[in-house]
Amino acid sequence: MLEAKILTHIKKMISEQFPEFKGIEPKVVKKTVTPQKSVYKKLSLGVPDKVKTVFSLRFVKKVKTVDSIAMKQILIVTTNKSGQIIKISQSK
Amino acid sequence: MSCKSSLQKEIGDLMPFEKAINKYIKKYRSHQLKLIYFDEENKFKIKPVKKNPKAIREFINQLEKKWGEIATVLIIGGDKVVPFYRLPNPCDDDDDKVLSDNPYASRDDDFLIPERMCARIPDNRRVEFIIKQLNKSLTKYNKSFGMSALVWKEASKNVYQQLGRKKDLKISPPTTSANFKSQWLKEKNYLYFNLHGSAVSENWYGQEGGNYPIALKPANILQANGFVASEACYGAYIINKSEKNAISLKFLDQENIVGFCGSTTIAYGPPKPPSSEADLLVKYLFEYLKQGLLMGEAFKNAKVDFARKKIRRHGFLDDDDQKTLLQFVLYGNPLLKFGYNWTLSKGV
Repeated sequence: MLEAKILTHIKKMISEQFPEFKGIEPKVVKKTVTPQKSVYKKLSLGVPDKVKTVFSLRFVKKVKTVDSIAMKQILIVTTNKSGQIIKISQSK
Repeated sequence: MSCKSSLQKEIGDLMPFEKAINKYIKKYRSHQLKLIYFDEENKFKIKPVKKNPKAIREFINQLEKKWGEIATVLIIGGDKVVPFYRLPNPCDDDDDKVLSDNPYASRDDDFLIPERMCARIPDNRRVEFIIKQLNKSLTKYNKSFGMSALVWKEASKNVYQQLGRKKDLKISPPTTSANFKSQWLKEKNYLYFNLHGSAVSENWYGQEGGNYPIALKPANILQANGFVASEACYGAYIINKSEKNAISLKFLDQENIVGFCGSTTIAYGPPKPPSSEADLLVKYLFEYLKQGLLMGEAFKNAKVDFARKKIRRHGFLDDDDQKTLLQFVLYGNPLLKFGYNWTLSKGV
């Protein structure tokens, strides 16, 4: 799993840059990504032989719109093994 | 391509539709189009199939074997006529399945990358609605319109900059449905929306912190022109909906809206540039439309380029990249374009 200090660092960064997710505990999932051979083939790309390990930190918050529609807001932080952020995405 | 019995149930007498589709086939004769009902005997002697996505897809593949390569699949009807595929959701979110038309565009069992142009004309339970889409033509203007939730302002500017001046992008809040001027949508080429959406709401929403105001509602759309791309969650969700409670159908009900691209389920995007997920797909789509490609071709190419870019950037397609590829659908006539040249291809 991700080292505790990396997780703490990411949570701090998220609460600073996305205050609406402050205090939300993320669900952390380790993912082993194997090259999607059929996709590479269709795109005429060479297939790498490397298997990658990434971590997905999923922050979820229930919100309500001004007309009382309940929605779940999801923020996903994807990191590599050393905790370097690969990308951040949010639900629309 | 449609299901005769189901289409009849939704819109009644098929004569006006068949008259319109024959006119459409003549208009686009260089594409060698044919109207195929998959539940009816056909001249290719392919056994009719039931209204089951897998069977319909197999029908298309059989048709291709007998007729030759099919470049375009135009689905006529909503989910009750030609069902969306229900694909496993790659993301850990509240969507049980991802509603997708991608499998109808794929020749093999990898549904992420389309090989055919594929679009859908929803029936909206009115034959006039379908005929309207078939008869639409493009008028080119020099302006576009864009609207973004405040929290995604910078990410949206990165998409919108190819359509217009960044400073013209409307931001919600302060822009909301209450101060929205319907003439903003008039005489435009491209309409871009990066807002929140919900399966149970007819509205799209802005966001500032924990405040989610209504940014756009169906009543705001009175005189719109051009092609619409929306990144909103459920922006293209049309099951059991009509123009009264689905912005996508309200747009398509306009005389001069030529197409709509949106997501059937929960969509994702970056909070800031660089563009990824929905932002990147829509960015590529607008680029190809601006180059003058057919709408269907622009949509297909946008997905291919999206996949290439994400693989080059990260080395793989992650869960939300995969979901983005599957969930975005194109509504409208795929053979319309902002350019002028004709191509030779086959289609159903």
